[in-house]
Amino acid sequence: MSDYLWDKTGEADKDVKRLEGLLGEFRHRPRALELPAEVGGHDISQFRAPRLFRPAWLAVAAALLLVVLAGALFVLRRGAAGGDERREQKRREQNQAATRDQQSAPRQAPSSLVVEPGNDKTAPGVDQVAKRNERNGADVRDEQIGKGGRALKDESSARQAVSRKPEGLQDGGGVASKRRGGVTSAAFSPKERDGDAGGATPRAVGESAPLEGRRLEERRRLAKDDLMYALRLTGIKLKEVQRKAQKVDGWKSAFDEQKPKQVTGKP
Amino acid sequence: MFEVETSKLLLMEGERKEAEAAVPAPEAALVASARAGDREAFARLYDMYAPLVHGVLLARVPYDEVGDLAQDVFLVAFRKLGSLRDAGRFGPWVAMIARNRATDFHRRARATEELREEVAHAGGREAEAAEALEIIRSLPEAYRETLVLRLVEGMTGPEIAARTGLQPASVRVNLHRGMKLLRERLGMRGRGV
Repeated sequence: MSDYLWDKTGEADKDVKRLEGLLGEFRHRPRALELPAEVGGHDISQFRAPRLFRPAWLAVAAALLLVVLAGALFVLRRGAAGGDERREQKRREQNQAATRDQQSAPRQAPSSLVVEPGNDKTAPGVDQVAKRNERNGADVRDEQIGKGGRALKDESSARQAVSRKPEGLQDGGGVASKRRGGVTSAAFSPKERDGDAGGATPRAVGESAPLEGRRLEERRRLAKDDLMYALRLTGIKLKEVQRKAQKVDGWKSAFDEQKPKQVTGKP
Repeated sequence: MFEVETSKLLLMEGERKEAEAAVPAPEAALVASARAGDREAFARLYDMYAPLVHGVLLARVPYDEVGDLAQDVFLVAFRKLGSLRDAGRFGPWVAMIARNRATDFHRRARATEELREEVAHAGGREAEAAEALEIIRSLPEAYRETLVLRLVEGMTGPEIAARTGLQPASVRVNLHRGMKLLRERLGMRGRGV
């Protein structure tokens, strides 16, 4: 490459020289610049794009809007979770009231629900009641689980397996389930929790009425299961809330990373 | 091999320094004064960069339109001078405004056919010049702007690099390859340029 084409030094290139002469006709001819009078005398900075519409500001505004939306979503979800807890609390209270009512009822006429061994006539009906109660309880639990997903369903089925009563005790289980309305609560009076049913000690009950003692034990076991279930449900809900909170934090950090950088030197 | 690469880099560095030396020093000060409303300062900027804007436009639009469009470009530059963040890069900035203005022109007007008619009716040296310019315009964008600035506006390679903000090595390559293509196309047409 000749130096002449680059910086006009050295031996002149014949073709380049000729093209320069030929195209020189189109060269810029100095001409006075005509600037309108109204533009002069003002601070030129006033012609900059309005601050509100600069890309950096728009990006920051969009990021803030998203953060606010995410926060609102989080608060709404949290409120919904709180609503569930309140509903559950209300159910518990109702169940406790029902249990108190039922505590006096068996003393008056409990024998109609008690299945005597070998009583084939009453057994099928009582079985059906017990199964129906179990099903209702499972439905209510599933409803409570809500978005708990597969893990909770598994847990519900496990719970059902636990709540299945042995032969001959289905009437008691049915009564207990009916009393509790199939809701996860340990709705037993302090007496029952201590094994003191109707003023008699467990040993006395075991001696006088072994069936009653087994029923009480079964109730205690069910109450324990219910308590465990409620604790697990609460734990899962807490984990869900924690996960959502972490997600919101992740969004915040993502927004922080995407903060616009200023570019200089380009028109 | 390594020594050759190093020597090339040193050469490019030397060219860059050469280009920087060619940059007019008071450019940033002139921009600052013009921002404050000093029309004289802007007039000096116009004198310095009018050939650049003229060349950039001539590589894209018909010759008859170039003068008015160059005025428009400087008017826009004067109005938007506040948005120029780096006062030392007035040249690349105003060249970009000129390129955008040429694009707008082609969107709005269909005047290129008229120039071709003028070329057909013109005779002798004028027609030859117009045809050479037309051939340069048909070259890839990177070559045509550099060639117009060199062959029409009479700038040297380092001056082109300094005004447009391009690397001197890039300008050198563009000049070399553009000139090669131009020779081929002129030869194919049977012109004795």
